[in-house]
Amino acid sequence: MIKQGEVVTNERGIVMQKEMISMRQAICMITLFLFGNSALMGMGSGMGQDAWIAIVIGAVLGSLISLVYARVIRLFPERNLYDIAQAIFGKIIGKLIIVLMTWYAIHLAALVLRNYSEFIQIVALEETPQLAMMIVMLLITGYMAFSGIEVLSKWVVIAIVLVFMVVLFTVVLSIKQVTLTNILPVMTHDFAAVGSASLKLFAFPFAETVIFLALADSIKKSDNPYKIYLYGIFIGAMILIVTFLRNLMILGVPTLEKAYFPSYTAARIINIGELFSRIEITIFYNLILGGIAKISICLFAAIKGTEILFNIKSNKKIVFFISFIILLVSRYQYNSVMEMIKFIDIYQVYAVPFQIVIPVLVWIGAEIKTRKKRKTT
Amino acid sequence: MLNKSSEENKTTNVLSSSLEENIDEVKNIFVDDATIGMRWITNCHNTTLKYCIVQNDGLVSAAIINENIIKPLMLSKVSLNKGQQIDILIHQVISTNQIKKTNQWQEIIEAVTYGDTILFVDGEAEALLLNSKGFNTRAIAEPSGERILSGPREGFCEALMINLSMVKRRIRNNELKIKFQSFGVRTHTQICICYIDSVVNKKVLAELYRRLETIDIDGVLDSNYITEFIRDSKLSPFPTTGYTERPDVVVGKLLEGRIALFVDGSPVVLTLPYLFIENFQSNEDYYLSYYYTSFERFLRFWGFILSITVPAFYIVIVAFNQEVLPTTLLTNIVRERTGVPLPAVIEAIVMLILFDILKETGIRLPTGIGQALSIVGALVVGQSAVSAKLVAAPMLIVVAITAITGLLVPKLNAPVIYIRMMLIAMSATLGLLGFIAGISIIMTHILNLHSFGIPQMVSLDNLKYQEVKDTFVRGPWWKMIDRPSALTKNKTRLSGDDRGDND
Repeated sequence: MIKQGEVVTNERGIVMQKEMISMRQAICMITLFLFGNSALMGMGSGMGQDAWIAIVIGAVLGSLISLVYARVIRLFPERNLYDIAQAIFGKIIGKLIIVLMTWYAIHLAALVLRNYSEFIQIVALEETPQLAMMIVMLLITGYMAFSGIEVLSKWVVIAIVLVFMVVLFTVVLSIKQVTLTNILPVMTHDFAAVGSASLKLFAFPFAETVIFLALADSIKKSDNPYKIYLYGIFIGAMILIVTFLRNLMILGVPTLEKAYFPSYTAARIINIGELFSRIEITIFYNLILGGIAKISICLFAAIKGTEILFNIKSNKKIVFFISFIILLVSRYQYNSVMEMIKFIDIYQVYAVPFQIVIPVLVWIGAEIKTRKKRKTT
Repeated sequence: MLNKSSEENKTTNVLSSSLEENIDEVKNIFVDDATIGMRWITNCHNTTLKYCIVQNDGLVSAAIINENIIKPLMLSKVSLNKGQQIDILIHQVISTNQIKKTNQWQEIIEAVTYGDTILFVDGEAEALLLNSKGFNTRAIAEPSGERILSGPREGFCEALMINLSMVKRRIRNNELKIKFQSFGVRTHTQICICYIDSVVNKKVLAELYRRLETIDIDGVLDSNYITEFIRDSKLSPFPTTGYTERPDVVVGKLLEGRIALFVDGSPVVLTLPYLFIENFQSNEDYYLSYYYTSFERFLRFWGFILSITVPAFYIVIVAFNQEVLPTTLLTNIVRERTGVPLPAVIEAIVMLILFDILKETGIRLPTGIGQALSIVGALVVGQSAVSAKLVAAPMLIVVAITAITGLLVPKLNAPVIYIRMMLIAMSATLGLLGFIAGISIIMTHILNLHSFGIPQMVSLDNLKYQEVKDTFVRGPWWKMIDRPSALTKNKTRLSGDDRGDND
């Protein structure tokens, strides 16, 4: 690990210091991370036209837990979760936490990868085996992981500009097909149903931002982690709400419930003057960019964890190895696309230890440790 | 025996005091080189003073030797004692503008081979190197690869000192630093490193010196030889050092904090570090109206993107996602494509390679045949291929757009070829996913590029006006207050804020 300010000449002959990302880049990373998978899978969860309320509540809950994440970053600036866990809990429990969080990163990457390969197979390349698509996406994310986090964050900033433009473009073009009354009646479902849907949305995607704790050593000390998380979640939630409302108003509740990939289905209907019709390839483009970003970030977190766990320096072999594990998990976790859609019910419980328990433990440990340090100094 | 002593002399590198031994040594060193001529001279007032000059026929100016070397030596009345002549000769007798004394054979060899005259004095263990260069160089003309509409038209030629003089004339300042080094084990080519002291990035300068030390090559004929040794990202097709043949471009880049590298024998000058946006900048952007040139920059940027993506995108649409096209266009394309035997990919690759062949032959052929060849290419190959149903007509348009936009950005002609082919291959196998995957990989690669430690793509963080005023638009000169911050810490170019209020 290169320390801040240390100047090294790496194997490519580049003189470099430890790579830091700026606040704007970090916010963009969180936003694209949130957008990536959820816009693909749709956020309905059976709520129909009330799902946007569930998104809002889910976002609020996500902001609450992100305050915990940001606090951990604040207490140990410029160090990532794995470092902090080892510092607080000592070698054994620290290593256990590292193993668990690395596994979570790998599994999350595998989930997203499988989502995308199912999507591509159902929608575009029906006869290509999914393994081929997965390998292609892993090659891209592997190259990105090998290039370092600064390149990833610059890439994400460019990608997010393109994503915003496409979302804006489709929203504007859909004006002709929109039925504003599709959003009514509001709150036909009772609070319990909306509450459970918002818990699902909390687990996927908002609390998945715990992955950023593993990348927190690239965030400068002077940047405010609270701002980064809150802005990121706010903008991400806005984009998701806009996307959802656009889908809802174009498709209406029954079609929205039945569609596997509502954004895609909605974009097929847009038709302006015979020229801009069937523009779903732009949505496809958007979603793939989001997917690449999300998988890259998870891959990064997994690689960092493996490096710290086994005390190895970064090189190509780790990237290859971890990508291969992700490929295996991705290939064999579901038998069909229906299982994939049902998995969210299990996921909201399965992810709790990773998203809530471990960060809260680390937070409490961090508070105790810094208080002790302050008392002794 | 003589060989051994000459070997010894060479390894000891020192002259002897005897004139005859020195001249024998010269004859030994330049054995079989019939252009090295010797002239024995005796002073007419004191016939014990013997001299011999060694000159390299063709590289020396006879006028200088006659007037400033032979005549003063022959006619000089200054009294000289054997063993103490050198300094008096330098200061009172010989009237060339540059004199250097040496006792090293290596220096003598390098001097003779560049056009200096060597003066050996009887009884002295030192020789004098006298400047008498008089070789012909190419006239200063506009470089054919960098033509502009309006502005200075001087271009570099192959002589290092003349090139330097063009740059020095434009920077009348003592902060311009010029340093010489020589490379090439056999050619000892001189290169010159040039920078403005108060603006340059010292870390980049240190890195440059470090990298130049690693160069180990037979001979350096062109600045590209040096580039390939010192560049970052050695395996990437993208350029990481700039090159130019115009002095005004070099001076512009020096003023922004860059370093210029001149190579003797080549009119191409390197500038480093290199930012990605420089691929799209041209010097005439600053000599014409900024509205016009902003549009031109925009065109160049989009030309590059179109040149890479159009064939691949066409294949994606035609072979995988036909629903994107409006129906009438779709029926037209389908009608054109019926009866064409080859799949779209093969057509695209064949037509692109054909166009590259035509372009390459057009460059190499003499002008008369070049015209005929382009007509052959356009009419015969294109039109006939379509009539024979070997190629579909829309493919010709796609290839034409690709080829023409590819000529807009000459500095990127190397990567464009490969990226285009890679995108076509990926789109042909995986459709839109392949296209997006290819574009992501290209974006990652470009973001990875560094030039001497400075990333070529500045992050979109600093989206203030002063950072982007010279990228995709060309801001007016009274707004060019700062230099690019990636290159130098000495940022302010203009003093005072907005100086555009002349109404």
